Amino acid sequence: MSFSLDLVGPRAGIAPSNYRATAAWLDSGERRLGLALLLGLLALFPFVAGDYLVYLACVAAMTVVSVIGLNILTGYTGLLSIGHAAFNGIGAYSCAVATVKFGWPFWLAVPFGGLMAAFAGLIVGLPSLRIKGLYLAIATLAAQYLFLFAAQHWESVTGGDRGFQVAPASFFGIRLDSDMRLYWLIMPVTVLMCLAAHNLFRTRIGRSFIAVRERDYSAEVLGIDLLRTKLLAFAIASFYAGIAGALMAYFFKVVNPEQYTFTASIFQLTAIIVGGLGSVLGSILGALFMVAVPEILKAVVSALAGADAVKGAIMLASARELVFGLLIVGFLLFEPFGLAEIVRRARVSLQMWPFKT
Amino acid sequence: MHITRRGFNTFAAASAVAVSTGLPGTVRAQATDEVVFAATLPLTGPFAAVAKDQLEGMKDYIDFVNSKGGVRGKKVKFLVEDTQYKVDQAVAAFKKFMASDKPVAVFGDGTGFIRAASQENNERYKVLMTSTSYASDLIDAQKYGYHFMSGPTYSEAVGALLQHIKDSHKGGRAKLAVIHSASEYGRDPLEFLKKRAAELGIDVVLITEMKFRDVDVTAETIKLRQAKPDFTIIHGFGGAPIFTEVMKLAREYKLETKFMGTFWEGSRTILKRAGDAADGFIGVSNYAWNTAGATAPTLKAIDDIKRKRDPKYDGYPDIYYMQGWASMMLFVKAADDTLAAKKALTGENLRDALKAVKGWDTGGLIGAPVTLSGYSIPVAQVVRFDAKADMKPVPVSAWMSVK
Repeated sequence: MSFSLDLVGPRAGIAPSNYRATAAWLDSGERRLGLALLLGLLALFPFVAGDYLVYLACVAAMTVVSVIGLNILTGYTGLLSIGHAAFNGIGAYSCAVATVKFGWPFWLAVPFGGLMAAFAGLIVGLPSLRIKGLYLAIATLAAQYLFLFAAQHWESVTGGDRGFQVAPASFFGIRLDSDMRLYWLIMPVTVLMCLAAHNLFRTRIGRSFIAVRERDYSAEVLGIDLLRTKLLAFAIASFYAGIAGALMAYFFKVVNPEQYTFTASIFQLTAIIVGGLGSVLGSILGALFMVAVPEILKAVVSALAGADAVKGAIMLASARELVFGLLIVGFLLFEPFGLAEIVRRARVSLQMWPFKT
Repeated sequence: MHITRRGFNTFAAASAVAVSTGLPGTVRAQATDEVVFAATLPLTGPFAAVAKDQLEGMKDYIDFVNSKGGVRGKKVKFLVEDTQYKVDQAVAAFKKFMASDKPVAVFGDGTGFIRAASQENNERYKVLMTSTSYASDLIDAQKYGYHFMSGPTYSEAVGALLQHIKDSHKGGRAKLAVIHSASEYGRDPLEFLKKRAAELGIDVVLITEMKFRDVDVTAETIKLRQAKPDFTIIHGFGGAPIFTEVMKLAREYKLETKFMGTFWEGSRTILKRAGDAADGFIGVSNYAWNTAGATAPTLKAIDDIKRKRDPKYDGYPDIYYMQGWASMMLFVKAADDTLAAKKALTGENLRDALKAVKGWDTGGLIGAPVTLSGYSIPVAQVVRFDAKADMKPVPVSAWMSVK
C-alpha cells in the first residue's frame, strides 16, 4: 500500500542542499504568500459571507479537525477505525459536563474534552498490538457501541437519551452564542490543529507512525516501540476527535447520543478516502467535500426546480443519495489517492509549466 | 460512456467552482404581502414514508389557504428542506431558512432538532415552531417557549391507552408488555408508563426495545410469548414498519395479546402491511379519521382535495397527512390572530397569539375545542382498526382530555 505525501517535502523544481531545507515546508515565497492569503481569507470570510455560509464554515472546520484525527490513525498509521464518532462524543460529553456541571470556562473545557477522548483512545487502542485490519476495525466498532450504550444509560452524567443543553461559552464577558462569534473560536482552533498535524509528520513520532503503517514488524526491527506508537496514534487521533466533539457541543448547544452514531463514523471514514489517506491536505479537502457536496446538490436542484421549493426538496431527496454515492465510487475508481492527489498534480503541473504539460 | 481520470477530475474541479459560486449567500427579505413558513422534514431516512405524507398534508393546506386569498390577504410562502432525520442536517436547514427567507414559523423534523435549535431560537431567531415530536418535556415553556405541539404528549397518549386497558380488561389484573424503539423517542414515555400502570393496577410484565431498522424480530416476539401479556403497547416506530412484523409473528405463535400503539404507529397505511395480524389494533388519534360525507369545514376541504386527486379515495386519510395539515393550521391560526390584532408578523407575536388561543374550533380536524396555553393539545380519541373493513379505524372512545 502506498500513499501520497502532500505538503511534506520540497515543491517540484527545487533541489534542497541541506536537511533543514529539505524539512522546510514554507520553502518558497509563493508558499508563504499562499498561506498568508489563506489566513487572510479565513479572517475576512465571516464579514463577507452570510449567516448560513458562516454556519457551514464552522461545521466544515469541526469536521476537518475530526477527520484529521482519523487520518492520523487510519491514513498515516494504518490502523483502521470505524468508531471515530465515539471519540467525538466523549469529547462533547466531557466538555458539556465540565461546562454545565462544574462551570468550567471553555478554554479549560475544550482541552478537557480532547484529553478525555485521548484517554479513551488509549484504552480502545490497547488491542491494536495484537490485532489489526478488519479485526481492529471491529474492536473500534465495539467502542462505538459501548459509547452509545454508556451515553444512553449512564443518565446521572449524560442525561440519557435526552442529553442536555450546553450554555454558550463566554470569553472576557462576550457570550459566544452566535455562529459568527463561534467562528472565532472554531476557526483558529482548526488552523492550529491543522498546523500541528502537519508538523507532527516532520517529527520522529510522526515518521514512526508512517513506518508502522508500511510494515509494523520492520518498524519494530528499526527500534520503534510498536505498542507505544500505536497507542500514541490512538491517543492523538482521539484527542483531535475529542476537540472537534467539544467544539460541536458549544456549536450545537446540545449533546445527545444521536449525534455520535456509527453513521457519523462512516461519514468521516468516507471523508479521508475521498480526500486522500495519509494526507493532512486530503483530510481538509475530504471534510470540505463531504460538507459542500450536499450543498452543491441543493443549489443545482433548486435551480432545476425553479421557484417551487417543495418540488426541489422532493427532487433533492430522491437524487442526493444516488449522486453522492456515485461521486464516492467515482473517486475510488478514478482517483484512489483522493482530492489531495488531484491538487498535488495540478500544483506540479503549474510549477513545471510550460516545461511539463 | 468512457470516463477518463481527466474527465472525472474536471468534473470534480467544476464542483469546486460550484461550491464557491453556487451557494446561497444572499438574504431575501420577506415581502410584505406574504408570510413565510418553512419545514425541516426527513424526506429520506427511516421516516421518509411518514414525511412524504406529512408534506402532502402541509402543502395541501397551504395551497388551500392561498386559494382562499391567503392569511388576511397575505399569500403563504412555504419552504422545505430534507434532513435525513439527522440533527445537524436539520439545524443546518433551519439556519439556511433563517439566513435567506427568514420564515416566521418553522416545522421541526423531530425531538433532537427542537432540543438543538431551541436555545438559539429563544435568544436570537424567535420563530414559532411545531414538529413531529410529542416528547413529554418539550412542553417546558422555559426551555422550549416557541414550540407548540399539535396533539398530546407521548406520555399523555400512553395514559389514554392505559385507561382503555383499565376500562376494558375483565378478570384480574391486566398484564402489559411494551415494545419501544431504541431511541429517545421510543423511551420517552416509559417512566410515566410504569408509574401510571402501577396506579391503575396494571402489571407491566415486559419492556423491550428494538431498532427502527431491525429485520429479525424473532427474539422480541419470543420474549413476548414468554411474558404472555394481555396487552402490548408498541411505541416509537413511526413509519418504520418493523413493528408490524412482531404482530405477524406473534399471531403465528398463537399469542393472544391485544396490540396497541401511540399516535405514529396508528397509521392505516402501515397497519395494512400486517394484514389480519393487525386486526383490533388500538391506536390513539390526535385528529379525525374519516372525511367521507363530513360537513365540518376542514374535513370537507380535505375530502374535496383528496377526491379530486384520487377518485378512489375512500374517505380515510392517513394520520401522517393529517399531522402535516394540523401543523400548518397552527401556524396559520397564529398568523391570522396576530394580523387580526394588528400586530407585526414576528415569531414572538405568533407565539403570544397561540398561547392566547382558547376554545378554537378546528373545523372538525380535532374533535374538541382547542386551548393552547399549555403548549400542547391534550385531547385525543382511542380507535380500533378493523382488518375486515380494510383496516378502517373505528372510534372506541369519545374525544377526551388526556391531560
